[in-house]
Amino acid sequence: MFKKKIFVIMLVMLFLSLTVSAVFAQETVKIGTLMPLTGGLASYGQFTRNGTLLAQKIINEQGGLLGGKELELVNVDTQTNPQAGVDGAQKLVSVNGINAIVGALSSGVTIPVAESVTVPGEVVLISPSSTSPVLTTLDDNGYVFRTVPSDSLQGVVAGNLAADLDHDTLAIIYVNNDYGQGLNDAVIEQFEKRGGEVTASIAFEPNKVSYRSELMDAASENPDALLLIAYTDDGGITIIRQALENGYFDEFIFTDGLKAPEITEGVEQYLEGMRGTAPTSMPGGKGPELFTELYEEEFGEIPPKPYIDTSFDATFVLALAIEKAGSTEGPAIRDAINEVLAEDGMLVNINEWDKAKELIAAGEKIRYEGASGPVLFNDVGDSMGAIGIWKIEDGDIVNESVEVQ
Amino acid sequence: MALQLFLNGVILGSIIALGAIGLSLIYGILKFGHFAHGDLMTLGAYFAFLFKVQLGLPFWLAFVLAAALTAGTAVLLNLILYRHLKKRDSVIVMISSVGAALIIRNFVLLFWGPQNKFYEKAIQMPIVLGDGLLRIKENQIIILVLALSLVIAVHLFLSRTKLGKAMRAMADNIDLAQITGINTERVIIWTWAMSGVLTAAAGILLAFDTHLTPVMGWNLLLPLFAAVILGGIGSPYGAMFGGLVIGISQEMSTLIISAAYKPAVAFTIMILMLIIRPSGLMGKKV
Amino acid sequence: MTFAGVFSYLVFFLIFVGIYAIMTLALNIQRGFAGLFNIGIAGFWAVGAYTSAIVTKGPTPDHLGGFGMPFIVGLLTAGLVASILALLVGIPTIRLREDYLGIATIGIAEIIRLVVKNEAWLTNGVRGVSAIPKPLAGIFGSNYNLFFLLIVITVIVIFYYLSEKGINSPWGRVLRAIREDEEVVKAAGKNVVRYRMEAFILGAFMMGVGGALYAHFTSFISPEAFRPMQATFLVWIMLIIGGSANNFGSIVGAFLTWGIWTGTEFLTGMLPAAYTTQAAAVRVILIGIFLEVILLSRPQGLFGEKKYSSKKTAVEN
Repeated sequence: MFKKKIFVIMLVMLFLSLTVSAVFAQETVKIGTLMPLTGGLASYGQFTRNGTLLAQKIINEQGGLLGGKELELVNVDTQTNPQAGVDGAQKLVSVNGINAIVGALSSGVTIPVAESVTVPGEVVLISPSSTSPVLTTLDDNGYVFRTVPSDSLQGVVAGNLAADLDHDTLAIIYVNNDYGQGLNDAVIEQFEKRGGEVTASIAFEPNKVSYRSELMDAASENPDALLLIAYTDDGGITIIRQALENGYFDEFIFTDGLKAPEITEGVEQYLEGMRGTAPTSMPGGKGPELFTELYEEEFGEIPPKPYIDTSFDATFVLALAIEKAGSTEGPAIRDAINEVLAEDGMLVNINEWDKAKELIAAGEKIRYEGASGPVLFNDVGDSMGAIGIWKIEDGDIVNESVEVQ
Repeated sequence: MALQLFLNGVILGSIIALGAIGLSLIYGILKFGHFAHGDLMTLGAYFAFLFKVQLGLPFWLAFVLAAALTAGTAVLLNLILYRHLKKRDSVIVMISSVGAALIIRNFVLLFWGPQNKFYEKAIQMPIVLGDGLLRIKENQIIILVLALSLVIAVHLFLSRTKLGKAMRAMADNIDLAQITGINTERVIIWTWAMSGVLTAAAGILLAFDTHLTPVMGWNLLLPLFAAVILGGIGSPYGAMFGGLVIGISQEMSTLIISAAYKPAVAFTIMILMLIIRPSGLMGKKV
Repeated sequence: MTFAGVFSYLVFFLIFVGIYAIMTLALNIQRGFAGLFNIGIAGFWAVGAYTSAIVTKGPTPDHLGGFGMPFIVGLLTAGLVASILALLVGIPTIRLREDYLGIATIGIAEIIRLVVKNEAWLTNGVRGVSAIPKPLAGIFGSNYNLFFLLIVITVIVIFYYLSEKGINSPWGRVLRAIREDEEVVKAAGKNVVRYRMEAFILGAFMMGVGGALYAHFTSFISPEAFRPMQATFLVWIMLIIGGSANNFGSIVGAFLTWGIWTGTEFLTGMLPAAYTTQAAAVRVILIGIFLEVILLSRPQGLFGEKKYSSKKTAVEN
């Protein structure tokens, strides 16, 4: 049958081309990246990905890893939803044979990826932005790390901010996933410690056309302000607009998922002076400044969005661990991360990959001054860090102050 | 609060009604459920976006052009696909309309991307009536006026013009209509065209009230079918009435059940109708 | 990619082909043999997946569970629950005209999706159910997927055999007769609704099992996994391409369609990442056009309806 023959030929050709490409394939060291290029965090994903690409560039320019092999980053779009993220991670592990992954951004994606793919598969996962407190206590055999502090810190800072702005009552609307839930709980705890009252705490589903009912519930007891825990593209912006349009709220406090200039489009005058919290680089140290310089050289202006620096760091740290372990096997990489980094090690800056290699070869430990500050993990894979308070001024995002752990 | 929900329901209902008129006529005349109808709504809304936001034309012109293009698409779909497949069994033509729906939806996704889009960047503060009892935006008033005008126009067309009467006759009883010498082919093309115009209008009004997203029409498909079945297949007036009922029920249902289950309301009404009185409230006995 | 890489990709690919083949065989019973228009496949898929996940996982605060049952129990329970759902759905709708049934099944799938999304006590809502146990995970290590493929193939063989047996039986003959001419069969005194219902339930059982296999393979399910058009529409394409009312055709249809679907994914994967969504949209458009072309030019698919043996001549002629 004619049609059948065509299909058979197509498949045979596909198979042949795959084998041929296999023969000619260069040997590289692969690290996977799980980034949201579409979906709720799309406005962050392309930039955090740039962070990983910058690390790759520096590493390859300075001789690569494991005896001169190039670092190859294999990226998968998580679409900011756990199903696509898990499916993508499965492919990275099963099909590309990858044992080290940077990602994902959203805790709602990172946690299922860890539970279903990387922990059972003995694959190291470093998230540059998943802040849910759940990750601290996750049963992960040491395979999950993050280069960003837990929301137990951001919650304290946000709760304090609300109290410091003289709000007595607060309503919270949060995205229905581990990130939203965790931050919500932490904020409530701190705000109540400071004597405030949370009159409503409401979870919302992303990607709905209208959030009028959630807003109506949240505003029902006339709280002083709305604390919004959301991502920009799958609900955050809609909630802000509908809150303003329907007169539910005019005072807002934002969190890290909303630190993006896009939230002010069309509503600048209503959001002037509003504040938010987000993890930020630790003060002091050359890392952050150097990173901004190198990023802008390569990609142009760096947007005031979080997690670009921590993505760079996650990639760099994985590379350090692979070099230290001398292999790309998951368990070896995991052990190497803890062995290679030390507070009293020899200083390595973000553009000193060659120096790092020499130190590792000499058996030395490394004090890595990363793009977000010094990078060190505690025994559960958590990172210390700083939370910054930002403000909307003339439709732009401006960093105001920093609270350190 | 009930009053506000009622108003929201009337607005949603008007939009559904506009989409359902065409769907009902097609169902009555061509005897199949057109599963791509929701996505034609989406297409209409995005065409208007193209003309208004991307090309900077005035809103009324964008509206007219978008409606015309959508009408053209509908006629084209019939010409290339449905006309030929109708001769085989009805399931084949329905599956092909599911395919068409997917193609249209992804065409929109391809050219305009998945992010939410707006006709206007700025937000509009509502007019507050009765000390917060009722909030209505200027846009929503425009929507109601436009929807009403279109419905009146459709009524005049169906009752006063020869083509309109022929359409109603065919939707009612196609064999009888053919005997009386109606040019069925021509009427069918005009039915598709009119459906395209009305459904584009529905999409544009929906986007005007909320925003544009590639799945906006698909999400309304079930309410559209519910409205058609409620009103009686082949009855455009039934579709108008059905649309309002579905819209209002859906919005007011949040008084009793969780807002998350709103879409289930339309479906439940439809199933009940199918079991109790499949011919609908205004249709003939099937 | 090394040769090992290609091989592991192939195994991964074939597992998905297998799961889709099970869905297509199921739809074939419902549509090909009984003439039912089920466009709510995604709903049965989801029910099967969630049932097996809930039944086989250990206790967890996130959702209903803690039964810790073995894999086989999970599969069978999934099939059973899907069958019960089909029974409940069928009672009001199976006697409807086929297009009404179609609309009703879309509604059912939608309600299932809403329940899965909102009843977090049952399903953990949008956060999904993770760490679904893979049967005998520890034993096979890196060759695990090959083992799972064998499980899938076994299930396909069993279902294929049962389906062929069923269709060649007196029950099957009545079913096919109903599809040809319902009135004649009614006149012969048969309860048409009962036969249709049985076919619907049987197909649903298979879909439930397929859904369960999916859950155990991916280890994580959430409402997003059952995007209606991908799940439902692809299966319909597989059925039509292979040839409705032909079990062998169903399997081949699944293989070819999934092959084209992933093949195009492979090609678009080579584009820069910024084009991912556009590429995905193009793939869907292409496969949609492909379906329309098949419907217009060769609606009987590759293999057409299989000529089944019939000892009685009556209504088939």
